Amino acid sequence: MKKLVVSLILLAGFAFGAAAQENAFNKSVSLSIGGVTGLDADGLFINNYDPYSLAGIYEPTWSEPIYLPVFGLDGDWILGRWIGVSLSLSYSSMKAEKQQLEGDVRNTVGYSKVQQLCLVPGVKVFWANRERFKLYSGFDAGAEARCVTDDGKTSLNLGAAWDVVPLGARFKFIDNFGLYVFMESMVGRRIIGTRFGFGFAF
Amino acid sequence: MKKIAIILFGAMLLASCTKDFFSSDEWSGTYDYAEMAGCDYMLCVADNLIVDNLKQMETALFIESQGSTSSTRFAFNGSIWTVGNEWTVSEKSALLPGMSIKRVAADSTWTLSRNGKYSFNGYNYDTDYEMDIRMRPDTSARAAGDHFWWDVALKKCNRTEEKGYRSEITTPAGSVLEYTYGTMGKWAYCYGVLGMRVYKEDELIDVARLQLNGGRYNDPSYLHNL
Repeated sequence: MKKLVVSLILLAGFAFGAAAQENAFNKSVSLSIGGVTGLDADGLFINNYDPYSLAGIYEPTWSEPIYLPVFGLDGDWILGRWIGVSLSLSYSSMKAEKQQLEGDVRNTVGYSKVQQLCLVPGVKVFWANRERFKLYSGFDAGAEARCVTDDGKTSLNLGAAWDVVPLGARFKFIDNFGLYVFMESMVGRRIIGTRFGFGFAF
Repeated sequence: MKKIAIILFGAMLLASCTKDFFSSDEWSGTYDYAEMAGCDYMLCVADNLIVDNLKQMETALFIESQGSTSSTRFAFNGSIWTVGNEWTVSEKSALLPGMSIKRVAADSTWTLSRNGKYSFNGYNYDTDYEMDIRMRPDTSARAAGDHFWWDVALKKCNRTEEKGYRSEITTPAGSVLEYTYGTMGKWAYCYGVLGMRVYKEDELIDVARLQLNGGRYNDPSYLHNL
């Protein structure tokens, strides 16, 4: 991790002091994957078996949930040398096996599932803004729709979603061609961790 | 060489898997942890609730033996050995505040009762209980300062918990739990049977039986879904 940070800082050093603002390739669309979904932090459908309370023994419990990584579709518009705006759509889901004590057997009685869709506009601040390399931080805030399925019933909850991007980096390898790759560290409602992706700037 | 290594690895993997399905005790059949659901819960009554009451009882006997006419732990109206007298644990006591000890018969029998919060490993719920305890005649096997041998008939132990759950735990009619002599702060053995009925929203959902054969670990025999 330290080597990565040092490398990014060295790369960014080439970009500081540039006189001209980037006018080309300032709009982009990208796809991303990665990070631990924020659903993990909410503790939905956990193993709540406890031998010292009746509810802990006889109420339903869940096995270790399975999480999909977070998939993202982003649009970015770099407005100036230092600042840009973005709009991000992301999807993640989690599924856990529901179990209940029936007689002297613990049976699987179904599956519980949570799906999360977030739409968040955001702002990016660019520490380095060159055609081939960009280094930035950002903040997103918007809305999430969470669909919970349990016992055959589905409920939809709306709420707020937010993320902080402490550091992100974008690399474009070919002049006059918009394909790039990027990686971002992210902390927030949607993702905790690092996401990776590729995009096309125009 | 590679084939041998693969075979050995596969055998080790298979051996580790079989531990999940077969008990490590000989002639004990296949083990499923769901079969023991409720056993630890009932052991909280045998190993914690009843023993806490016996400890308070023996403290009362010690206070009586010192000839004390008052106590910061108990409020009482006379000798604990006199039929009809009652000792009550002070509300400031850390152990079972409000518990009542009443001498009911001349054959060394007392009735212990309490209705209040009691913790099962951190779960603090209302527990209303009453038990008759009888001290077995002292014999030369018991040294001064050791625990007495008690026969405990748990007439009722009703515990009301969250989400509509409640339990009723008793010793079967005509039987007792025997807590034998002990030293160093614990009784040595506990023998006997406890029964439990579990209700949710007043509907009976489980009936269980715990047989204690001396020790708490490895020895109890437990059945539920009866």
